[in-house]
Amino acid sequence: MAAALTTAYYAAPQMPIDAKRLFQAGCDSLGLNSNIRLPLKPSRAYGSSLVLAREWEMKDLEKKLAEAIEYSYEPTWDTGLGEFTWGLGLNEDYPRGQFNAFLAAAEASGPGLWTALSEKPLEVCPQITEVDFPTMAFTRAEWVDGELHLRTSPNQPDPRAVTRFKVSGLMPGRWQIAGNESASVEVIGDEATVAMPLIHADLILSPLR
Amino acid sequence: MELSDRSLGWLRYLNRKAHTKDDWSRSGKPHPHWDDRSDPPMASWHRFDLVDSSYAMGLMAQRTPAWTEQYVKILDQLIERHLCWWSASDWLTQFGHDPDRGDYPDIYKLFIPPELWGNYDAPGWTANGTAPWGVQIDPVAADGMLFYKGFFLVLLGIRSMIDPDDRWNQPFQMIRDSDNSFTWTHSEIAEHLCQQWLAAPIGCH
Repeated sequence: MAAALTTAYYAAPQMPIDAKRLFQAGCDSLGLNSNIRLPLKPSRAYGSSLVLAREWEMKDLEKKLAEAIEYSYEPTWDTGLGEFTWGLGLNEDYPRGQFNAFLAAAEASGPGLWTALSEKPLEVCPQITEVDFPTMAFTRAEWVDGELHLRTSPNQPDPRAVTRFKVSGLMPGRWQIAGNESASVEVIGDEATVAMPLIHADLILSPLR
Repeated sequence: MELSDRSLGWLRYLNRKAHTKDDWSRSGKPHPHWDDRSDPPMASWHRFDLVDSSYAMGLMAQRTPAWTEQYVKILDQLIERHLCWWSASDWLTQFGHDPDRGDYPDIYKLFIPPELWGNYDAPGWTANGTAPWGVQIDPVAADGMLFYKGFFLVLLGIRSMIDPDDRWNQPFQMIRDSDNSFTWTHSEIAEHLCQQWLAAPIGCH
C-alpha cells in the first residue's frame, strides 16, 4: 500500500476524492498516522506525501513529515554557490536526483498549488526577464492591483555592484520604482529596464498616475 | 506568495545541474548527477530525474508568477535531454524477455506473482520486441512504453502551463539516432496516447 502514496500524488489534481482515499491508505501502511519511525529511509514517498499534506492542509501530518524529513534527510547548504540540497544520508558524490526532486516540490508546495498547476495555465502577466541568475534572483515577483511587487535575493549581496533586469509587456507610459533610493527604471515602449544595487530589497514597480 | 530561501537554493542547484553540458546521445553518457539509481526496477532511469525535477518548477512558478523565465529555461534543458537516446535507453536495449529473470533479488517478489517467480519479467523491464508486437523503436509510437510517453507529457505539460509560447508544439526530433529519429509535437504525443487508451481501455502496457 505504500506505493499508493505515489499514485495518490499523480491522481490528486484530477481525482482528488479517490486520491485522498489512496493517500490515507498509504499513510496507514507506512505508519505516517502514528509515530513515524526515524530516521526515514531515503524515498520519494515522504516528499510526495508532504506535497499532498500541504496541498490538502493536513496540518498535523504536515508537521510530522516536515520534522521527520528535517531530522533524517540531511538538509545541506553550499553557502558559496547559494545552493540547497538534501544529502539523505547517502554519502554520495551528487545529491540523489529523484528524491531531491520530490523534496524540492514539497518545499515549494502549498494549499491547492499542485492542483492549480493542472487546472489552467498561469495567468499571463508582464514578465521579469534577463535576470543575472544565479547572481540575482527573486523570492517575490507578483502583480498586485497593477503594481509589481518584488523581493530581491542576490546570492552574494554587494551594494557597490549594479544589477539590471527587464520587465516586458508593460502598458506603455511612465513607471516608477520604489523601495530603494538607488534603484532606477527606464521605460521604452512596453519594456522597463531596472537598475539597482546587488542587495536584498523590497521593490514596487508602479505606473505614474 | 513567496519562494522560500531553500526553494531558491534548490533552484540554483537545479539550474547548474541542468545547464552542465553532457551528452545524452547513444554515443554519449549522461552526467552522473542525473539519477539512474533510485527505486529499481521501475524508476532507476535517468529520465525520471528529468520529469521529477519539473514538479518543483511548476510549483515555484506559482509563487513568483511574474518571474518564470528561469523555470522555463531549466524545463527546456530537461525536455531537450528527454528527446535524446538515453531518455529511452531501457526501451532501446531491453529486447525480449529479461535473461536475468531467474536471478532477481528477493525484493522483486513484491512485484511478481508468486506462481510466476522466475518466469516473469520485472515491472520496468520493457521487453521491446516480444510477441505479438515485435520490435518497435519509437517509444512514443510503440504499443507499450506508457511510463515513457505518459511522464514525458507531464514534463511538457508543466512547461506549457507556465509559459504560453507553445514552443514544444513545433515539431521536434526524438531519439536522434541516425535512421531512428522520430518527429513529434506535444499535442501529437497527447493525441496518440489518447487514441491508444481509446483503442484499448485496459491501457497500453
